[in-house]
Amino acid sequence: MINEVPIILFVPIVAGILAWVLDVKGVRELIGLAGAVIPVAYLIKVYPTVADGKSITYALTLGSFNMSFTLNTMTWYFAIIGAVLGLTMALGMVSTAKSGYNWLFALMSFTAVLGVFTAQDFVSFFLFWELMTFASFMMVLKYNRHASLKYFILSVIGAYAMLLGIALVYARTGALDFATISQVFAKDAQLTGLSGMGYHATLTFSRTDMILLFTFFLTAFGVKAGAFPLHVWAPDAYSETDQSYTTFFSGVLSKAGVYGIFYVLLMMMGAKLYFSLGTFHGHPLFLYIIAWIGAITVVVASFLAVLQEDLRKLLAYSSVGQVGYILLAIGTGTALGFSGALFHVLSHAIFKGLFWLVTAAVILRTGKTRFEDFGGLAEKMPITFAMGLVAVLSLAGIPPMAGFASKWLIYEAAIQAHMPLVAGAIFLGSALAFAYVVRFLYSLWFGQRPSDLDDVKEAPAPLLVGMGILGILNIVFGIAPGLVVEYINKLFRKPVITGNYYKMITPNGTYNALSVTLVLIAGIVIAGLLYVYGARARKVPVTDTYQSGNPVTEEYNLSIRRNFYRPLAEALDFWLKYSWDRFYERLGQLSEDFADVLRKSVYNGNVQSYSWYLAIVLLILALWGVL
Amino acid sequence: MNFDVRLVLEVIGMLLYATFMGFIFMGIERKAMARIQRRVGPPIYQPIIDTLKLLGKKESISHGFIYDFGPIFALGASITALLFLPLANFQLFSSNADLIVVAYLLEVPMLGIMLGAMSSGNPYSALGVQRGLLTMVAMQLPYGLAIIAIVQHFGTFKLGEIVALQQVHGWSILVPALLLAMIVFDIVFQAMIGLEPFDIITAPAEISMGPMLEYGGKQAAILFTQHAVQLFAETAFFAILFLGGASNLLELLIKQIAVLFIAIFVASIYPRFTIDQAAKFFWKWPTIIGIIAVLLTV
Amino acid sequence: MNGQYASLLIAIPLISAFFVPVIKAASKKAVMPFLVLVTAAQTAAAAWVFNEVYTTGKPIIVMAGAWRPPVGINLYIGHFAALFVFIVAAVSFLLSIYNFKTIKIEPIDKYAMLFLLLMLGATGMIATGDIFNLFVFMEITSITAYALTAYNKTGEAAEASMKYMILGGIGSSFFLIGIAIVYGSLGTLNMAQIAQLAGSMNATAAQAGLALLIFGLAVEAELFPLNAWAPDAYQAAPHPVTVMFSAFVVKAGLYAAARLLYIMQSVGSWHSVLKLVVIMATLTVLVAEFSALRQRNVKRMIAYSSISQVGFIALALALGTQAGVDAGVFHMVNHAIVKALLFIAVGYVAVELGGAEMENFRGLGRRMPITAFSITIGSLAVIGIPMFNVFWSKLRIILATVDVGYTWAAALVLIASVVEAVYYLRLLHVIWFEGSGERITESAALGAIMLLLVALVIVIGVYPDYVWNLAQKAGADIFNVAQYIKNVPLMGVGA
Repeated sequence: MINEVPIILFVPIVAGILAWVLDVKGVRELIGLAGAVIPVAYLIKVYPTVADGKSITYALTLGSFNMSFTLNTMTWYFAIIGAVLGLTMALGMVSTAKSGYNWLFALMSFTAVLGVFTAQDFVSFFLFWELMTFASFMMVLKYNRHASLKYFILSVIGAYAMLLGIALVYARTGALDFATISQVFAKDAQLTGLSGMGYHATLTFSRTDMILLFTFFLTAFGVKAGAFPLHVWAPDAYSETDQSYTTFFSGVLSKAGVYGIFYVLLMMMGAKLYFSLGTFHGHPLFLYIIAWIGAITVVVASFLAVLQEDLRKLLAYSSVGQVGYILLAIGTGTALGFSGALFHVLSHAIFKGLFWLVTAAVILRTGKTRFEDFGGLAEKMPITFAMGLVAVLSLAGIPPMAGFASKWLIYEAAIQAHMPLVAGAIFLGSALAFAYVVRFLYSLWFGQRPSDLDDVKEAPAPLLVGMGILGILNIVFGIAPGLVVEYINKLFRKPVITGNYYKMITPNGTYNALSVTLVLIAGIVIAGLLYVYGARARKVPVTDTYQSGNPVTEEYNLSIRRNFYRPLAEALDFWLKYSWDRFYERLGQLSEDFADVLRKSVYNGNVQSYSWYLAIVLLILALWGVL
Repeated sequence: MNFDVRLVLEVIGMLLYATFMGFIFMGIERKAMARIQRRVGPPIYQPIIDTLKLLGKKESISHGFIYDFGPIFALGASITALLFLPLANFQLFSSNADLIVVAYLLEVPMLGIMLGAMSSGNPYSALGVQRGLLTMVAMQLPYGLAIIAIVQHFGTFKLGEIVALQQVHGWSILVPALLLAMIVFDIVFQAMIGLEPFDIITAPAEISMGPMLEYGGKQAAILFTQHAVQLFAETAFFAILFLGGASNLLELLIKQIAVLFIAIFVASIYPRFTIDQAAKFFWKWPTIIGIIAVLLTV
Repeated sequence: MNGQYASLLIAIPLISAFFVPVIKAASKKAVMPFLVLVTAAQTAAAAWVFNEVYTTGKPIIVMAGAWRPPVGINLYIGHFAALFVFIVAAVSFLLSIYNFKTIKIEPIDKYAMLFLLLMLGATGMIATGDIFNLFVFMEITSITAYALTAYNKTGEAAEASMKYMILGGIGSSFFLIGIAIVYGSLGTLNMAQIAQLAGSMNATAAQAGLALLIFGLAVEAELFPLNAWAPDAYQAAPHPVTVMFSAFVVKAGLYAAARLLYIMQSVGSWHSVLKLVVIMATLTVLVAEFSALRQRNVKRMIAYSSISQVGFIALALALGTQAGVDAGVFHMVNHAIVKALLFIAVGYVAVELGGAEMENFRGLGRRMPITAFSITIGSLAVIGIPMFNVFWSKLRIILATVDVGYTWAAALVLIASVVEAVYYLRLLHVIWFEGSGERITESAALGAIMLLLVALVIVIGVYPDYVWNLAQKAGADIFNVAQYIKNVPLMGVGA
């Protein structure tokens, strides 16, 4: 019997190619949807196996590299998140994708991400990693050349850094499969620990090696995760593409970076990095660095998100910031932190995926993206609005949504790990998150509606189904975080967080999501009773408001949509002068100029100087002592 | 959660008590302000009368479902926050949620008010929303640092344990680092309960009460009630974190009123900040003191 | 069949070249079909040799006049030569069809002769087992190359040809001196015997000889800074000739350099020479990629890219390890396919739209979809996107490079690859998402050629095992010198 892994892996890309080749409206949507549903179905089918701690492996040899893909407790978790988001992406694309091109590359990245998550050796990991970058790049290239190139260049720099890292590991160990490499690292870590205590030992990896490896892999994964200061591609790339695809792009592709940090840096070489790089104030240095990168990412990206004037940019920066939380949680270096990070991977995927689907629906129906052009859509698209509200509550971390449960774990982990300043960044970040989601709420859904939006219709059914799936998940995992926590505990093979389906108990804290939900409902009921007891309310239009006695007319749109957070920009003007984005642009410009200078001076077209080159090489040969 | 008659009675009792005392606090606030400004001021029970009057109005207006739901949600959330605090000898639900949850729950009502305010379509309300969120952004960093200092010192997130530890080892503010944290928290507290110099959100003379502007009738009554509950919960939160909690309601009340009076005194001295001034202020001294506090407690 | 039939590989093009004037006298229209016929015959012969060598696993040694080496000159068609002679023949065959579309300038008979001689020269360089014979074939190759570069009769072509000639001339002179030194010191010109005796050579003579041989070949092999002639020549030469330069002429030079390097590995300064070549190769990649970045002429841009890829190959070959040589050979094969594809497609665009300037590529996706698709696949392959062939060889090269400890070299060539990605992707954007124009009917034959190459790119990309096995065997042929010596039936003189 053919095993499930290759089906899960390759069905999407095959469907994508078919959809691209056939490219008949209606047919391609059906094929694409099938390509997204099948992996989800199979992943659910193998759940009992992986939940038992068993794994399913698929191996093949390609170019005399042994490649293998495994679904186990760890990889299944990431794979199911990817697949569910992929499914909702496909549902969204049924409404928004206009060509087979989109289906091809969207489903290609689906396959690629699953490949990255399940790969058990560096060759397939790198191969799918590149494929993922390429496919997502093509999705952006179609919409914006500049954004896509920025994305691609940074990604490729990351990928090549990773390739150097892989080559270095290969040079030292002669192996490319994760299992062998992990063993070598584990053994080497022990030896390093011993040699730190005075024993003499020959190490496979020197301290310099480890510093290089850490730099290489952190760059590679940092780019994908959008970590500061490598985040600059994300806002442009996330906005300049099919927004249904962004559901997947921001919800899952960024998690590949997280997965890399988690798997490669932590599980594979964590111990060795710890012994080689030492500690800083009692924290493993390498984790401390990751934590700070996460913290800075949270703060910088959230501030920038608050100040955006474009719906897509706001959400894009927010995605960057939320991934910062995950890095920060990993950086705490405790099992609690890792659990928080893993949980947040899930909750970020489902709430940000929901956000992007809502955005896709809004953009599909209105054709606008800037806040100043929106307004009053809540009446026109009530279901989309409700879903948007769920996403907002989850992102802002309002109990009892999934977003709160994971954030709560990250808070606890960061404070308990005695990283107070890092934890402070979470507080600041969550206030900023409040601020930008309200911007989203106010500008899109409330206030006066511009007259050109008067005949906007509710989102099409497939998009609504996609939103519904994610919305329900947000609520379910919010009220019953134990469902997720129980699974995460399996990864650690010990109960890191105890409790039951509704209650999470950490060593020093508790959160009973169900009781909070029930009390909140009770509170709302009490307040509602007060409301019902009161006199009947008369409905008036939004224009019928208090205006200091001035009459309000329909001609003036009184909603504040531009520069909503102007005072914050003023308070921050010193910091806003600096931009990594501009710095990179400048750097790119400089290297182009350098390229010109180089070409003109080397290949100057003068055969005399060319002859001199020959003479110089001869001279060098002589000086080198080989002539 | 098993159905527990005693607990239900406690909850109902506490809700009535907190609402009542919250209104009284509001009254005290107004009265004390007036006395400081050498006015007579309204009677201390005036807020209750106001609220009852609003509830009794024959008609109120509505700008739609969210407009109505906002205040209801806010009150519900305030009640929730209150019930997860260990209030004196009443533990209520506090064993089900810890400091972080409560800190969050105390912010949720804000979202409810803002939802309602935004849906009203009034630009002043929108300005109020903007100011409210920016204040929150500004104050959150020092606020977070103060909370972190507490948790690091006591090594637990559970409010019940924090209170118990204080009863054994003395109040938090006796510890130098936590005294610093308390100073920070107190500055932030002005913003939390919306008093000068951080009454930027409502700013009656500038944006006519901001978010509350459109509300009248029963919705306004709900918002008043919400404010009362919230005020009670926040003062209690302060007392729990820094003043050793309380073993009975009277002790708690004394501490709450002490906290309230400090806030009133501060409020009557300082004029209002503009929002960017507030942000710059919060990110300077309170943050620095907060950082010192957390570093001392690592 | 007797292995000696392999000498047909030299004989067919040589004799046919002399027959071209006769054919022309018969009918001028017959010249091009004649080329097709000859290259087809050559391909068939090469395919037979290839099959023979890879099935028996033994090299074919052709001894001229039945004199055993080292007295007689021998051809050594081992795994590498069999593979590459086949590639040379096959590419030439495709080009002979391509010629119909692209070569309009007279005198066609001269062109046909030179075309065959260039093919012959490259074949000979790859197949020979004698160092002086190598020089002769190298001269045949380069002199025909000079002539072909100037074939378009424009001023630029003449200039490019002159530059090529001067630099090539200097290079081959030094190569000849190198041969003289080796011969003077060892008294033999047979490569196998040189390999056998290299260790006993006078140290100074060995150093100087090796260095000069490599120096001479580096000009042909386009190593920086001896490659200054290349961009001009690539751009000015007729399109099929550019393809030949990139697909196999430069490979022949590279192969010769690698062969000489490895047979002289017991020379004392060997490691220094390797290191120097690594440095030069790295610089080749770096400088060429940066030079291509702002290039407005697509043909020249791809020429730079070709140079840089050659740098990649040189780097891999100079690593001095089995893995490196294997990777280098693999990259040679992939590069030959991809660059043939790209130059054919770009040349075709230049013919149809009157020049290879970037402006002409605007809207190409709508105007010439098959060509545009081919360029797209070719570009993506060069960048190293997975599921295309170059991905595998680049990966192998990087792994091998770091394995030897040249992490800095790997880092530098990867930086250069980022630059490469940028200009190729800009080109793709121009092709697919900018401009528009009328649809042009594309030639079915050329479309078939391009799609064939595209198919190869993808097939090797998805299933690299077969070609990788070939490359491994070919690599072992270069790397395993002891086996090489054993394979050649030396007469036992002077040993």
